[in-house]
Amino acid sequence: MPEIHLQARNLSCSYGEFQALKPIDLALHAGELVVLAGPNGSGKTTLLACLSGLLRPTTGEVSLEGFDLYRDERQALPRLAFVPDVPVFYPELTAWEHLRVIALAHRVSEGFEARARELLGEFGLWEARHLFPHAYSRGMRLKLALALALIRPFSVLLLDEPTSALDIESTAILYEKLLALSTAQTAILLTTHDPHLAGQLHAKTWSIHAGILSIR
Amino acid sequence: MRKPGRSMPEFFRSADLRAVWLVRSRKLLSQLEFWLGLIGYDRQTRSFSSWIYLIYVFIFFSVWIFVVLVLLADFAGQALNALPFGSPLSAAVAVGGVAFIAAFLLELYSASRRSPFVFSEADATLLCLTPVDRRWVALAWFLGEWAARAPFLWAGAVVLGYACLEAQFPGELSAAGLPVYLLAGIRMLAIALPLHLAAQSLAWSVGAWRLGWKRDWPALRWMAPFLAILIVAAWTLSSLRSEVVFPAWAWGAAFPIRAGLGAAPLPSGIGLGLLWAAVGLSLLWAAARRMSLARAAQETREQEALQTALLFGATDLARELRQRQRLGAGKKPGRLPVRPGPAALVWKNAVQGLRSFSVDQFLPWLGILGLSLAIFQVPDWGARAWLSLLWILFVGGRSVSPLRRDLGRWWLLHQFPYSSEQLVFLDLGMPLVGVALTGGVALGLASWVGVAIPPLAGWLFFPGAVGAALAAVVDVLRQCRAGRLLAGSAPDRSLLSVLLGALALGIPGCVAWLLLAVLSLPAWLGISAMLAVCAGLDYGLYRWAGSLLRNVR
Repeated sequence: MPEIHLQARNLSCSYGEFQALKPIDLALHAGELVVLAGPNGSGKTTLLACLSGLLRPTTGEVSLEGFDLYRDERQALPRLAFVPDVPVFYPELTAWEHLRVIALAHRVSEGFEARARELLGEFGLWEARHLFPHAYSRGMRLKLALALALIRPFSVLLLDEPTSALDIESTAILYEKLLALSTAQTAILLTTHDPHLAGQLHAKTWSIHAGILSIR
Repeated sequence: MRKPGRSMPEFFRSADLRAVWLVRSRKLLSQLEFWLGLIGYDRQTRSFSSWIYLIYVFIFFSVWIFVVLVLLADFAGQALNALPFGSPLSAAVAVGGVAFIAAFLLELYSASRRSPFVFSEADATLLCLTPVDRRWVALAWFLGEWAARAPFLWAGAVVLGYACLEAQFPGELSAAGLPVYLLAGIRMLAIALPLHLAAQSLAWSVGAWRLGWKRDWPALRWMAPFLAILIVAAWTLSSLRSEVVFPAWAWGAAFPIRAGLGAAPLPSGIGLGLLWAAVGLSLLWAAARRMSLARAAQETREQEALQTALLFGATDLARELRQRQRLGAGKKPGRLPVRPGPAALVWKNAVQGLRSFSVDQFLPWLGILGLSLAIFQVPDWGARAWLSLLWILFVGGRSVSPLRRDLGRWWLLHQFPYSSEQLVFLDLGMPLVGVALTGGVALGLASWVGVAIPPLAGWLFFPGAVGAALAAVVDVLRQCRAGRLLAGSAPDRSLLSVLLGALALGIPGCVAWLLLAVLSLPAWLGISAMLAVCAGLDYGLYRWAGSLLRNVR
């Protein structure tokens, strides 16, 4: 059995009286690619927010390769990359500067320019690299968020509806990247409304309804 | 659209006018409802008591505004007497003339750069893509904006009327003199209305004319500065040749103002003002015929969002929208050196700080400098304590700014591989260096002017600043909710930040006072104990802030 990269135990989340996530146990192994499906309001984004540390769960704990996301932040956070469905960027930094600051914060300095050029080129953002994100379309912003995740090393990748605003070409590139990352032992969990996505990626499907996760 | 042979009443009942008015009136009504809501009046409640309340509010604010204007007129009257124009009347005419010309030039400058007609997304969809008569749209938007901007100029005109009266007949305002005062205000108001209408419509007609062309006219942007230089030069030359305050060529603007101030027949002044207004509105009507509403919407969509954000008090959003306008679409990478690791976050903050620097960002630093100087200079500890509270407020506000900016990008903040404490430290670093530098400048200035700086205040300055900054951070973080942060909205400080900052500064101060003044221990011991207590409190706040950041729910 491959090594567990992401594990959650007794994870639940409530907004006041409303329990958005019922207690959940899950494990994501190295190289595992999982598609999380569910209707609107079922708790997909809440689960991803809890797993990525954006939202402190009401109960339970999350660990990345054995490091607790809250107690061992310094060890856990470098292992995790997250791409939200509607990313918001720093208005004062250009796309290139966003990539630069994230890469350097993760001490990726050697080969940064070549890597950034490759990523931006693949997503069709190279010509627009010196533009501020507010000059980008929604799809371009999503591509920049994907590039920000991919510019640095990680072992777990969480994506919230990554194809929602992408064109066909960029979606194909993203699939290619996800499959390559999975082969390279990265654990990937992504949410979607697309019923065919799991088949296309040969991924496992987890479904969530009214905050209850079922793992098949 | 108007067909030949249609009668005038039919023309005014046209479908175009109804459509335009429907859209415009909804917007104006929603703005009116917002302001009425602010004073506690609900337009939907049509009860008798709510009408009485509205009348009460109207009377209350009328009296309040009258009193404020009279108070302002007292100062303005003294200023008119001090101006070198021979008599208060001449000075008032000059001030009024300059104010109207300046209002015209500012409107012209703005209208020649960007559409003066501001359209929202909804306006753009409803009106701009339809073949509705552009002239009606121009008129409806113009009148709405004119009415919204006019009150400040009207108030200024009324103050000028009162001030002229004050300067000519100085003395206390008595009940018998009240009608004279009111009449002076009404006279000036009757003149200000058409003059302002004329100034704004003339300027907007240039904007409407610009929007009628497919290509842009960059030279048009220089029209207002060129006119300003021309007017100043002509005025200077005229005053060098003769001692007349207003040269003959400016008679058209000066005569109505003289009439408003009671130095010329009022009906003639109003007549001339109305003539100017008719000219301005006719030019606007003519220029708007070919105006492109789609272009106007494209130019002003962000401006509309900014106005809405300001109206509803969304200051962070307004600041960001202004920032976007200032930054433009893109920028080549700067030359600021950057190193891997935590320095990258410092570099990010430095780039953000440099690119978002503006006058409103600079003023708080001046405030911190001024307050630091005042704290060193005031003779007693009571006044020093009050000034320190203000200083805590300013230092907290400046220090927490980078962290708030990062909190508004919650998902991005989690891409940095640092602990919560490290993030707090890295975001506070630059502002605290700024506060230390400001304190250094204040100390230097105080020493230079020979002020004896109290040792306690000097020693407590930097650790106290750290405490004030951390207090603000704790206050902001305790209010954070993940849902709102994910939506891009970070909370602002509350009174608790001042309270915590006062404790972080006050407790070490009290310890020092106890050891030095009460127990009469050596100075080095008292100061060391004070610094130790301060460091302990700062460390406690730092850990608290880290824990709050880690546990945002």
